Amino acid sequence: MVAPPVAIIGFFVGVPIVISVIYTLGHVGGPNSAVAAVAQHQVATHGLLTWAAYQQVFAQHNFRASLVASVWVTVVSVVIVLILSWAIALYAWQTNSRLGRALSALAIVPMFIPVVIASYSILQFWSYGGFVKTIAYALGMPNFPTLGFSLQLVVLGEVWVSVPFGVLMIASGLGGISPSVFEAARDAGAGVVRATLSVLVPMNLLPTVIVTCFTGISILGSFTVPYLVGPTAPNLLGPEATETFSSFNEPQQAEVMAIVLFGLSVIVAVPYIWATYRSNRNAGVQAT
Amino acid sequence: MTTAESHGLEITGLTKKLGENTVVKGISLSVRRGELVCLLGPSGCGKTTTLRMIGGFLQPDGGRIAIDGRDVTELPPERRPTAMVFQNYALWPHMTVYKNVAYGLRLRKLAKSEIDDRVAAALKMVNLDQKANRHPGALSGGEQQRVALARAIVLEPALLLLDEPLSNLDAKLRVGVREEIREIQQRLSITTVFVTHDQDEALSVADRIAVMSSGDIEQYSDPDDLYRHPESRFVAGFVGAMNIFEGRVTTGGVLVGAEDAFLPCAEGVLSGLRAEAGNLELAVRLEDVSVAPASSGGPSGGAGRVVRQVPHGHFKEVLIELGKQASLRAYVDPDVDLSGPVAVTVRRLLAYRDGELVYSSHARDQAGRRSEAAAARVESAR
Amino acid sequence: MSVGATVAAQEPRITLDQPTARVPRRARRITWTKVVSTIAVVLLFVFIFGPLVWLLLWAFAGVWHYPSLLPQKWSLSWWRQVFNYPQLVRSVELSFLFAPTVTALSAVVCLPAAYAFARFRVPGRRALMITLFSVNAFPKIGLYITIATLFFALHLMGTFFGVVLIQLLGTIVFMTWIPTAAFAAVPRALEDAARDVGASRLRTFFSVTLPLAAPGIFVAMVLSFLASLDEAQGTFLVGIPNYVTMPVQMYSLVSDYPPEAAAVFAVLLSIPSVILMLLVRKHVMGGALARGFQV
Repeated sequence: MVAPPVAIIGFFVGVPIVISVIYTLGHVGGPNSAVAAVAQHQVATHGLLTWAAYQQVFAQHNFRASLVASVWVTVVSVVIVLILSWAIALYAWQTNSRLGRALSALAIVPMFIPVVIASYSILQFWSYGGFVKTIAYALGMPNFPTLGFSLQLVVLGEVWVSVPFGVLMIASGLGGISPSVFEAARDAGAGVVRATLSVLVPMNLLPTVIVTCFTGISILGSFTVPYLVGPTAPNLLGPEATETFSSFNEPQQAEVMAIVLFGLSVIVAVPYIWATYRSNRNAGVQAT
Repeated sequence: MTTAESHGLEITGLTKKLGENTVVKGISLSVRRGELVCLLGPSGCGKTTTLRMIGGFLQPDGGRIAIDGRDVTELPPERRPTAMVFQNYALWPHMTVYKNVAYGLRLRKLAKSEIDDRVAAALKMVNLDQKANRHPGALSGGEQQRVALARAIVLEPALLLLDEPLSNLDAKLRVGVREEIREIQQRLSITTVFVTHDQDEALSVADRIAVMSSGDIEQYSDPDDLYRHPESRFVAGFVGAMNIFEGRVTTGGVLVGAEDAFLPCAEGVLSGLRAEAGNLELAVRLEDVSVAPASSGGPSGGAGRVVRQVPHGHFKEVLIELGKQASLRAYVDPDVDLSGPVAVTVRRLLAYRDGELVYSSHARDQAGRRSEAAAARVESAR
Repeated sequence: MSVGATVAAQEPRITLDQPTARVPRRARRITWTKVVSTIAVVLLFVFIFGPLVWLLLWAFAGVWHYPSLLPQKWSLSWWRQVFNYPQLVRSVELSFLFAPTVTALSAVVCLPAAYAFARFRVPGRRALMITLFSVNAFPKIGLYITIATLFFALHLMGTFFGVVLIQLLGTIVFMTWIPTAAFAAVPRALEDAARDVGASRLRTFFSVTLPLAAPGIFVAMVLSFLASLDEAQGTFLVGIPNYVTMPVQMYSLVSDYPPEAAAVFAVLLSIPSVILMLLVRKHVMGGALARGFQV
C-alpha cells in the first residue's frame, strides 16, 4: 500500500537528484548526455569526479550575492512569520473572542490564493502607482519609497504566502493546551510576556519548530514570489538558478545552485527531525 | 441438560502474551446461560484483555472460547454472536442514534420495517425513543451510554460484553444506570460478561464474580460468598472494606501490630485456630467488630480510643486506636456516645497464610459452595 | 404566573440602576493596549486583503492614473477581451482538466499509503514520510532539469500524462501526510464496534473509518487541486507548447499585457480557489491540516 507514492517519488525525484549530483561533479555521459550536449561552460571529466563546477559557481560574485540574499530573506521572513503567527494565534487563544477567531480566519486566506496571483497583486499593491504609494501621497508624503522589485518586497511576499501555515500550526498547538496552565503561571507572579515565554512556548515547541523549518525550506527554494516581485540581481537562488538554466543555458551551474540550496534545506530540516524524534520518544514513554 | 448446552460461555486455558508479559495466564471460566458475570480487578489485571479476546478483537496465544457450546476462538469479531458496550461507548459520531442502533441490523439485510421495529423497541427499552434523530455529540454521557447498550442488545446477541460501561459517568448516575443494565439483562436474560474495577458495582449487579489479579482468576463465586469468604488475601483486601492485621492467636483473642496489642474475640471465633498456628494475616470486616464504651462492663483488654468518625446516616464508621501501633475501623450505631475509652470485640475473623485462606470463623451458608481446596486448607490448619 | 410577573416588573429597574451606580468610569476609558491592538488588526487586514482588493479594482478599471485612490473610469472591456481571446479560454479549460485528473490520481496513489501509515506498523514509517516531503525541499528547477532528461527518454515531453505526472509530484506530500493524520485520529474502538456488530473489515472501512477521516481527506484533495491549479514551472517545462495552463499563461500576461488584463485573468484564476476555500475553511481551521504535520 505504501509502495506507489514511494516508488513515484523515488523514480521521479530520487533518481533525478542522484543524476544531477553526479552531473555537477563532472559526469556528462549516460543519463546526462542529453543535457550535456547543449550545455554551455560545462565542466566535464572522464576520469574521477571533480569539484570544478562548484568552484566555478562559487567564484561568481553574482552567485555569492544571491546566496547571501537567499539566506537573509529566509531568516527575516521566518522571524516575521513566527512573530505574526504567534501573535495572531495567541490573541485568538487568550481572548477566545469573535475578533480573535475572525483574525485567524483572515490569516488563512492567502493559503487559497495561487502564488502567481498573490505575487502579482502584492507587486501592484506596493510598487509605484500602488495603494501604498497612493495613500502616502494622500497623506502628504509624495517621496515615500516604493518597494517594487526589491528584496524587502520579496520578504513581504514570502510572509504573505507563509502566514497561514504558521497561524494554523501554532493555533492548533495552543488549542491543545489548557488555559489553566497559563493562568497558573500568571498566578505564580509571571507577567503575560514572561508566562508566554516560559510556559506556552516550551509547551508549543514542536509546532513552532515545524513552522520554522517548513517555512524556511519553502522560502529558500521559492521561485514565483522572488521571480515576480524581486530585483534582477541579486535575487534568491530559485530564480537565479532558473535564469542560469534558461537564459544562460548553463544547466550544470544551475544544478550546482539547486544542490547548494538543497544542502541549506537539509540543514534547516535538522531541528524538525530532532523535534519529532524527541516528541515521539516522549509519546512512547507515555504509552507504555 | 448437557454441559455444553448449559454454558453460555466457556473459556478454557485462555492465555495472552503482550511482548514479554503474559497478561492472561491460562484462565478458565464458565458462565451459565442468562447469567451476569463480572470480571473484577485492578487496572492491568488482564480483565479487559480477556473481554477483548472473547469479543474477537485480540487473538489468544492459547486456550479456547466457546459460546453456547460453539467454538468461536478462530472467528473474527463480526462472525461472533457477541455484542459489546465499549468503555468510551464508541458511538459513531457521523450517524444519528437511530443509525447507530440500526447499523448492525442493516448489515444483516433485514427488512426496513423490521429494522424500524427492533430499533424502536431497543430505544424504548433504554428510554431514548425521543432522541432517535439526534447525533451522539448532542447527548449527555448517560444517554450515550444507553445508546451503546441499545446498539448492543438490538442484535439479540448470545453474549453481551460490557467493558467498564459506567466508568465515565458521575457517581450518582452510575448507580442508576447499573440498576438499569441489570434490569434489562434480566428481562432479556442475556448471558453477560461485565468488566469493572469497582467492587461495589460488581457486588451489586453480578450473579457471580471472577476476581482477577495479574492475569489469573483469584476467586470465582457469587457476591455473598465472595464478600464473606474471600479465598485469598488479595480478594480480602480488594472486595469490601476490611481490617487486615499481621498477628498471632492467643487465649481469648489475637495479638496484632508491632506492640502486640490485644484484640479480644467473641467466644467460638477462634475455636478452630490454635496458638501454634504462628504468624498469620488476620482479616476482620468492619461490621464484625463490636464497639462499646469501656465503662459498660465489656471484657478487659482491647481498650482503645475513637480518633475519627465518619457519619454514613444510619451507621457511623469509626477509626479506633489500640495503643500506638495498631488501629482498626468499625461500623457502629450513630447514637452511641463513644467519646471516652472504648472496648472492642471481634465477632468474625478470617486468617490467611502465604496469601491463602487457612481459617474462617464462620461456616459458609450452603455447604455445596465451599470449594474442595479451601476446605482442605482449612482442615490442614487445624 | 404571578411570580413570573413580579420578576419581570422588577427587572427594568435593576438594569437602569446598574450603569450609573456600579460600573466604574475607568472600564470605559480606551486603554493603550486596545488602541495598539486595533491598529495591529487594521494593518494586518490591509496587509492581507489590500493586494487582493487592489487587484479586483484593477480588473474593473477603465482609466486609472496615479495618484487617484480609485479608478477614474470603470469598465468591463478587459473581461470581454479576455473571454474573446481563444488562447486564454483554452488555458482555463486545460487547468480545469488537469486539476481534477491530478487530484484523483494522487488520491488513488496516496490514500492507501496514508491508511497503511496510520494503521499498520510500517517499518521506517517516519523516514518514508520525510522522503516524500523531500520533493518539496529540493529546488524545483534543479529537479526539473534532470526530470526533463528522464521525460525525454520516456517520451513524456509535451504529453498530457507528462504534465499530470509533474503536477502529481507536488501533491504527494499533502495527500499522504494529511490523510495519515486523519486516519490515525479515528479511534480504533469505533472500528471495533462496527466489527462487533457484524461488519467486515472492508465494510468497517467504508462506513466508519472513511466518513470520519473524510474532512482531512477533503482538505488534502482541495490542497492538491489548488497545487495543481497553481503549478507553473514544471508545467511550463513539460507542457509547452501543447499544454499552456492558466498560471503558465499568467507569467506571459504579467510581462506582455497591461495590468487590467492581468488583473482580470488573476481574478478568474482565483475564483475556484476562493470557492474551495469557503468549502474547506471549517476543516482547515479545525486542525485537519495542522495535524497532518504532526503525525
